[in-house]
Amino acid sequence: MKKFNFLLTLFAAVTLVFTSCDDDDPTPNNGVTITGIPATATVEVGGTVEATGSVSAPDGLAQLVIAKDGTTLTTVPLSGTTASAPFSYTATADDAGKNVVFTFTVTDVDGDEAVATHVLTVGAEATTIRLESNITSDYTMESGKVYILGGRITVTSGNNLTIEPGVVVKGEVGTGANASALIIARGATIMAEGEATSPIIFTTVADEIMPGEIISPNLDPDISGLWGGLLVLGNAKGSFAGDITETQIEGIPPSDTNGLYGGSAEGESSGTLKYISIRHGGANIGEGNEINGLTLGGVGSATVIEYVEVIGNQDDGIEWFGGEVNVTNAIVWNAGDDALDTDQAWSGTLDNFIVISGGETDHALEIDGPEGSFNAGHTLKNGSVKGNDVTELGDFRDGARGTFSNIYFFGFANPADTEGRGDLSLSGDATVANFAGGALTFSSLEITLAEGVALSDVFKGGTAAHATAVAAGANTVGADKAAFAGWSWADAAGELADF
Amino acid sequence: MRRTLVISCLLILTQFLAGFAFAQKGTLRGAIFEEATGEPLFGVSVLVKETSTGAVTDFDGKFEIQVDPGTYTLQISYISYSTVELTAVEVKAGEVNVINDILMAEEASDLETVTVSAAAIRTTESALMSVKRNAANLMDGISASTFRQIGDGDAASAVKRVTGVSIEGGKYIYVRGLGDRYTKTVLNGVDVPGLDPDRNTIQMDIFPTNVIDNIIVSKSFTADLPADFTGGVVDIETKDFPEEKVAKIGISGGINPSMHFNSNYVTYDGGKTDWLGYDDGTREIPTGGRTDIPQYADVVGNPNSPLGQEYQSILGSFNKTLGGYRTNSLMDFGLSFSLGNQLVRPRATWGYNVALTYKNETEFYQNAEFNLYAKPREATDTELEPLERQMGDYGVNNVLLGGLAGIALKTEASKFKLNFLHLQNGESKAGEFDFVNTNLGANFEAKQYNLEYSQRALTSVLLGGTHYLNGRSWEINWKVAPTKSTIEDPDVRFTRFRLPNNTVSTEVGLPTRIWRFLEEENVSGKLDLTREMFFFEREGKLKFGGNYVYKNRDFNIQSFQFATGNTDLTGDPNQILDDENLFAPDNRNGVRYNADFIPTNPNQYQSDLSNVAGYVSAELKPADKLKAIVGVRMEKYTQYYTGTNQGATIVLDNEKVLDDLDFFPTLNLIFNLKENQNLRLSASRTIARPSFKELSYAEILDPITGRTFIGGLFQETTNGGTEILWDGNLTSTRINNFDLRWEAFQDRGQMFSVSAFYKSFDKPIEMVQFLSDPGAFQPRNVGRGSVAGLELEFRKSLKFISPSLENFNWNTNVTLTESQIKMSESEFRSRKLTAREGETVKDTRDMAGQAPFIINTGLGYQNYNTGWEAGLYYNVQGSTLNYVGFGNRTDTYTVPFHSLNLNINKTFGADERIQTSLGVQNILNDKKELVFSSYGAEDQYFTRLAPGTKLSFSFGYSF
Repeated sequence: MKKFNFLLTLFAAVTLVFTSCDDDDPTPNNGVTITGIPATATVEVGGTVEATGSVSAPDGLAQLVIAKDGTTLTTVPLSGTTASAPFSYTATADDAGKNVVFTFTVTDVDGDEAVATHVLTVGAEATTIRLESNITSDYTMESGKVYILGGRITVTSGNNLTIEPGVVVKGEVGTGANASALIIARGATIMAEGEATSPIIFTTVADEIMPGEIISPNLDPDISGLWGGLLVLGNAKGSFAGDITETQIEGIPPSDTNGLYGGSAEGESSGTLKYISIRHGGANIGEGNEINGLTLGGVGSATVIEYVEVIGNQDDGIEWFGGEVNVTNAIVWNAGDDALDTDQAWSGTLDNFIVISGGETDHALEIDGPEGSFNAGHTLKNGSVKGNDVTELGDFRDGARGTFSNIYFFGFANPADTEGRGDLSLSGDATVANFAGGALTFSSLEITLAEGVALSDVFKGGTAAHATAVAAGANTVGADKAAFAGWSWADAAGELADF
Repeated sequence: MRRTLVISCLLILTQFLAGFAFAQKGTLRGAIFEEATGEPLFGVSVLVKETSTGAVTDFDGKFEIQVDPGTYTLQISYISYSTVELTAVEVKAGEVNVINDILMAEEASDLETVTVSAAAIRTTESALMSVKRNAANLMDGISASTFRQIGDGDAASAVKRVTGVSIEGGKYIYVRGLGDRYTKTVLNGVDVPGLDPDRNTIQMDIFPTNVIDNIIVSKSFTADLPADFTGGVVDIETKDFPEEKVAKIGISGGINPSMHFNSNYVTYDGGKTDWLGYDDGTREIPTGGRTDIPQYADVVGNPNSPLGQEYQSILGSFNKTLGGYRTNSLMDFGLSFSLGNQLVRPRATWGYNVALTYKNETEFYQNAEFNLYAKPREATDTELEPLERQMGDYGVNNVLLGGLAGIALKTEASKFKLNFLHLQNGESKAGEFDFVNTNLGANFEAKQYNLEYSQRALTSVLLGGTHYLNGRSWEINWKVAPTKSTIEDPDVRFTRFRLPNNTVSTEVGLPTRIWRFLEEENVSGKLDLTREMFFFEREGKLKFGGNYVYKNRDFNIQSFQFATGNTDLTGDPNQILDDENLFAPDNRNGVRYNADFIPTNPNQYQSDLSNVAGYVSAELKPADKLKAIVGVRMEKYTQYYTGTNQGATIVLDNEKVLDDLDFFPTLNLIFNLKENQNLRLSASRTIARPSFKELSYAEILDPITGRTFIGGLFQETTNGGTEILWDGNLTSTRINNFDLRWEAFQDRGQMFSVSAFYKSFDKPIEMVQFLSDPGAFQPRNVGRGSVAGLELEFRKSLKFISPSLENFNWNTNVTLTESQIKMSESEFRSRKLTAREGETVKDTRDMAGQAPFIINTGLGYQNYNTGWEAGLYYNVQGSTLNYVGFGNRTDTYTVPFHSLNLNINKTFGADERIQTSLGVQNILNDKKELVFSSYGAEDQYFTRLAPGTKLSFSFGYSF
């Protein structure tokens, strides 16, 4: 099984240094020397050993032969009297637990020879693999292993990242520009298909969770901002300020063109996300420049996203920036800003979702309108939203449009006591006009009201006409929580009991 | 340390002085110049008629005579020149009478004698005028006597009186509307390091007028000047050899009724030495700048580990003050001291000069506005929509401490000069603002608290010499000047609470603290050789020499963000870091720091450059009335950069990023139309080079503005990479300059001049916003640019109206310019995409910073007999493009600020020993405003500040 993608790499280059020879009559038949090759070294699988050999032969160099365990790897022709040979070798899974012997044989023009030997001790195959640079060819993260994102790691266009069930991906420590994140660039795909019994977990290196676990052994679910998040970017259409066709995602400077999203592709696929749980992310870059738990920028409709959990993210749980992708079975718990945030005329559907607001959650639903002249709306249906004293049900603003139906709200504060917390409001003339004109519609909203609160105190701007007050647990609409059973931390922590 | 140095120099000089006894005779000193060329005349005989004692001028055209007290007539004669008789020259016991600017003309026909009264020659603008009239290149300037008349306290406010000069933001000089990149500032003729990480030029407000002798602005290029200027090169000359004993102490003060003694003033407690212009360590970074400190994610799971304890110890040691308080503001005050003299010894003349200055100024802006507006989405809507509105009060306390000490030595054929200069400036700011965000994706109201401190220091040493060989036929000038400047912003604090619940979140921005550090070291060396020789059988000069500049800049920002977790906050910024709120084993979701610079600090770079220059220039007279200065300069310029991009995937390690070899030809022609009337013509090529951080892969996020600076070496593409908007190949800008000026000079410093200029820019560099991200800016070469302009200047005595108005002067200078730049592709596209209905978008616009007009006009009054001097000055600059709009953001323009200032000086007592002045600044009580401007829309404020009207006074005593 050679799934392992760290292939043998060998790099040997020779720099020739010609030395002028003032001596008219060189003494014939001098020896050959090779120095600079260490006798031993130890690496793990995937680790790299580097050395630079210096060779010299007063009579004139002929060649350098490098062999691994007796098999010639490369032969480098040489000339001149001195040269240096940089050597680099990355240990493969096949080398695990072995001593690999390298021999460096240098010969001169009259057949003299010098040999240096290097013994490389390769440790057992690592179960924790660290990624330090972008993924620029197809790559697989294997079941049972932990992968560490050493920084902002991008799967670049044309390449696919496969993540097998049960993999734990941990983001390295870092905030601001150093926030670690996994980015699926436009034209790249991710196949992260976890299983109901074996979800894929994205978390921080601070989290001691290991493959097979669902609950973090050492971090509470409200700890946030320890790493960035997962960003999936595509070529689908969005409505951008200034009517440009593509734009840069929050959190990544525009000099990194892997951060661009948007375009005119229809029916594109960025791959599949299934049974994934994203935790403790949302490292802050700057004001208005944050990383969400799951960022979906211009993602195409053929992409499959279902069974997604976002927990303890410092910014939004899931944020859509334009695009057409549909998402089903999503749960957001303890979002630091908004649980679900939509912008730039996302035109897909979110079906069956649960929001569990935390102590810092601002809006359960933050629904923004298009930013350019292109208009499109999205659909949110079959959701259950649990509030908090500081949280609003929803803010529909800047010309928000779309269809919002079969959503049940409970556990919110009285808006009259909290200066408007706990309400659902329409902000701005454009939003009000869309609501009046039918571009923004609500139907079958249900709520369990706090004591002494009227329906119209909560549902503002005429939306109360589409809402009904129900007793706790007597809702007839809402999420099907069975979809979250077994694989989500929220379920394992008993947080779904109220739903 | 540096302060000690200055003080000890002062002590040594005072001791030097103490050992010297003054003669009971009086001293006469003067300088004699050739009228036509402005050159000092060597070997002129100066005779005191009454006593028949006399002297001969030295190579500087200077002479000194000791005589008994009395009133004399001086007879000044030189072969083939008309003799000058200077009458009514007063000499007092133990005092020095200085008569500068004695001009001698070549005799026309008969032996004629010119008689002038000594009172008619004064150290006024005419000294500078004679330099100006005879200069090879176009120059303008302002001297110490004018600073006094107008009452300007620092170089920034003084220099804007010069034709075609404007000042942006109270600090940065623009010449002919060309700023930063196109204007160069030098100190005593040599390069000085900048004090701003984002600009090429130096901040002018750091130079107190007390240490300045004059400021000369050269607007046309001659080969002996550095080639990297286009608008002008501004030379700040510090005080030199004093002509007479100067010992003066002064106090000054200012009261602004809207700012001072105001109980609402916002401030915060800084260090104990804030009043001296530097921080005593109170604001020091608690980590000592370490980059291996633990992060929250390292310890959250394990707070009791050694690392966890270290984290908590660092967290607890951050200064807990995040907000200011209201208290009474004090008035402005200042102290100054200057001392100088020259000591004549048998073989040499020594001169020394010491100047110390201290200023403490307080500003308080109430209801200051800082807003962001944007175009609405629909092209049919025109009125701008607010994105962010910030309104509140902020107080600024600015302390400037400056010291200058210099020694000069003059021997028979040589002059040496050693100068030390140290300037120290500390500015403490505290503000409280109401913030309303209505930007897409974030709607909230918040209360914002800012605390800032910025400290700047500049230390410069100048050693120079002038030597004459064979009389004056060879002149050798050399200068060596090491300079060091630092700017530090220790502990800039920013906190915002979202209303009404006083929460802190990523949406409103986390509390942030920043330590910024910039250090620049600079060594300049200069050698100029001038040979008098004959060209076309007429006197001329050949000048050649070289210049070497090395600069090294270190820049570093360390910023921390403080997430507050689930802490309950009250809205008091000073409670956020209370111990019980901080992260601890039993409070893991408490307030914590996140260090943004670990492991990679993209906000850090080191860069150096060297510029080796050589030139040849000849001053010749091809015809009787025509002077020509032709020359060529060569500059070999190399720049190196060390720094990384954000992900450290591109690392430059002392990489050569610029290697230019250029030749800069120049031609200046001066036609002497008739006596005191010149027509000047000049053509030259100059250069503007990208700055240190522009030629890089830097990705620097400014945590305060949220804007990202992107180095010029990155590309920008669009449409899936198929279209290149910027190729990442940033190069220098080459500029062709043409100038034409007619000028006429009259007696008593009166003059009139009209100039026209045209400049064409090949590949000018502008800051361009990314099409894909309006929050990111990159320096790019854009299409061709041009600036054309007219300048008018006159200085006229009102004697022509009535003889009784003899003491009134009317000074005016007006600059009109028309600039044009071809937009970058991305800018043009973005403007088309966001054009309003009915708006036509052209692919050209004004150059940013280019004022369409600048007017300076004023009435001066001088009466030497009564000691009264007064000036009423008006300055205005036309509405100027400030920031270039992009995407849905619009252009911002300055609103003309009508500045009207009055200053009255009166001297009292014998020998004018007491000098007093009274001034009123901003008499019209105008406001400083910048606005967003868009097609068909009402202008909206970008910035709005009310500086109020200030009364200032000063009192000086000479002894």
